[in-house]
Amino acid sequence: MYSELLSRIITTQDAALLKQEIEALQNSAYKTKKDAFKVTLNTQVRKWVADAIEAELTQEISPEKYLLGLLDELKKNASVQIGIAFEPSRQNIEKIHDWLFRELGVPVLLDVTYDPTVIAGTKIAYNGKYYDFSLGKQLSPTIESVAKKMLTTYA
Amino acid sequence: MHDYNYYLEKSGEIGYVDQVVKSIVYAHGLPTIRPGEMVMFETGQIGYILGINKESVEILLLSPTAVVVGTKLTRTLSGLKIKVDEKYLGKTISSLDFEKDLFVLDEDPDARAVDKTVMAFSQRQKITDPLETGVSLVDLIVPLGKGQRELIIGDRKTGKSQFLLQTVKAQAKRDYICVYALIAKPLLEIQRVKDYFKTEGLDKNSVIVASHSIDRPGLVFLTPYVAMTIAEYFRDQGKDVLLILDDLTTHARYYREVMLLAKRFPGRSSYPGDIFYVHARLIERAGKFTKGSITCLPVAQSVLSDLSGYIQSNLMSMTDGHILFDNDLFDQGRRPAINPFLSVTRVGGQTQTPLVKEVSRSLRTLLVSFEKVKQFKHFQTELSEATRNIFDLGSRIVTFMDQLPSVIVPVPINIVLYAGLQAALWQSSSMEDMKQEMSIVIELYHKNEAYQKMITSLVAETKKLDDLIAKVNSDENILLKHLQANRVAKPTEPEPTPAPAATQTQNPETQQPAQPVPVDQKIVPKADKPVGKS
Repeated sequence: MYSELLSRIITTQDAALLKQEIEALQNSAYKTKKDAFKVTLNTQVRKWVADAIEAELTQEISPEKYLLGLLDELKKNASVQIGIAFEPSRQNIEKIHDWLFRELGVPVLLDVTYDPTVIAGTKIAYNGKYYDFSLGKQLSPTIESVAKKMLTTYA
Repeated sequence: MHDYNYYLEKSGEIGYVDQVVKSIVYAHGLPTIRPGEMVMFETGQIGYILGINKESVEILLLSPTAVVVGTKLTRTLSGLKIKVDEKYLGKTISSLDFEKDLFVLDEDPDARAVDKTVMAFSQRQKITDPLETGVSLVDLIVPLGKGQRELIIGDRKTGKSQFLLQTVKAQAKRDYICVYALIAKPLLEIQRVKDYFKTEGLDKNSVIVASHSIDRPGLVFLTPYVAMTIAEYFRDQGKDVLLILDDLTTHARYYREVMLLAKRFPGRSSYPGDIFYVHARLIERAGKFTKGSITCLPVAQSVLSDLSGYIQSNLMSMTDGHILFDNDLFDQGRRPAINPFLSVTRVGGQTQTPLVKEVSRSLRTLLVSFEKVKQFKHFQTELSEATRNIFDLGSRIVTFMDQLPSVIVPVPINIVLYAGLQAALWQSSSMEDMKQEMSIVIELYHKNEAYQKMITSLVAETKKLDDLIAKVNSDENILLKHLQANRVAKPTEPEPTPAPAATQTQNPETQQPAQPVPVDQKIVPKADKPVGKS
């Protein structure tokens, strides 16, 4: 269960959006209107998410239990923060996610930020550990000395 | 202090703020963080690790600006340390300076941990030297020793702070280092203490550590620890330090606030279970050591003179006695309003010389007798002569003990004045005249070095109170000569009616013409009222 849905959730933004949708569906349980759940599913949830949920709800499980289970599964995903010097396309992100999933062996959510100081390479934070593999870090002593030299020469 | 990126690079660990509850921040990440470590947020604030849970760390925010959920933070790999040096003498370190100048987050051999374990027993020494407060009642009846921890307890507005300032004044003039911690005080009060230090010229060897009542509870909580660390710095240089913690009941209230926010289980009066440990581990850092000493005077505020409060009784049990400021005595006009019967000093007695001990014992006995006969005072003439004498001497002793906050009375002159009282020197003087004459003698003691030397050697050479009384009564005594000289200098007054016989023989010398006194030794009373005749 949930694998179909979770396979398409690869970033923290995706997860946050899905959580919002789950919350809307959970709230519908307290509405007195007839078919409130279905109405919410069709109006406040993205089409592919609604389809995936509907497909899985055909099995014998109540919507409340299903949604709670989905939230629990989402919480299990560790987040990996990545700082890169370009704005990645969806394809790039998927590629990075697949590689990380293969290497780490656990489901992860990517939190990609655009950081021009990286220049090339990346900054990664995972499980509280921080690694700086950026070219910016390598070049910073050189840049600092050049800037100093320029200031002393021309300023 | 470096920036966030420096510490992030150094530690290689990152965390994210999940929740902010007033000054408590919950964050996840930082896998190898330790309790007591400092963290830095990407927005520049600093925090102190209070506790570690399975999924999050609890951080006590120390910076005045708030952090928001999602903010990154990193370890600094450093505990809470401060760097102290001589330059802090004469300064007021406010809580804003803690973050800017005082806290050290880097490797520095001179930095000192704010929260450290107490010094080992082998490095401690027996308290043998007295610490003069300049307050007659304390120095004679509830004496303090160098390295003692004495609780100052009393209701608000009963003169505790005034007594503390008097003590600082008495000690700062003896080259003691005085560290005054003002915990969560209003700005006005901090300014008042600052002004006092400045006007009295005490700032050259004193430090004020102050936190305001509007500061972050974390900073208020750290104030006494910072003050103690500064005191330890000077102690390690072999100096004697007087540390005042004003006051620990407020400190406990702020700690309670922090701990309740951190969801710690509340105990008695909602204080956390470790409140005793929090104070004991602080006060235990004071004492007399092989090198230097820290005399600690923590203050506790009581409510309606109730000494059985949780924090008050905790503090009583971890100090070497207490000085009680009594609301009733204050209302009766006694200054300082110290209750000598309910005040305790556990180690002060061992610092006294045999003569001072005898004076102390005699004073206590007299005061007890006076308290007993006080209830019969309305019988007046029907009282026996002995009772009347006790009442008269007791009243004079109470007047003798009454002291203005600006007056410092050193122990030797205290003893001589007491001997004078016992010798019935002021038997026929009115209370006002007696007090004025005593003030003249005290002023003379402060101003005239020869006189000071004479009194000090007189007290040092005398072993028994009776001998001192005899000497004070004798013709050669300068105390008497000066009194006579001042009395003679006044316009002639009608002969006073003979007073009832005192317990001691009245001094016949007072009736004789005075010896001439050198001009530089003459003291002219400030008041317009003439000094009374004997």
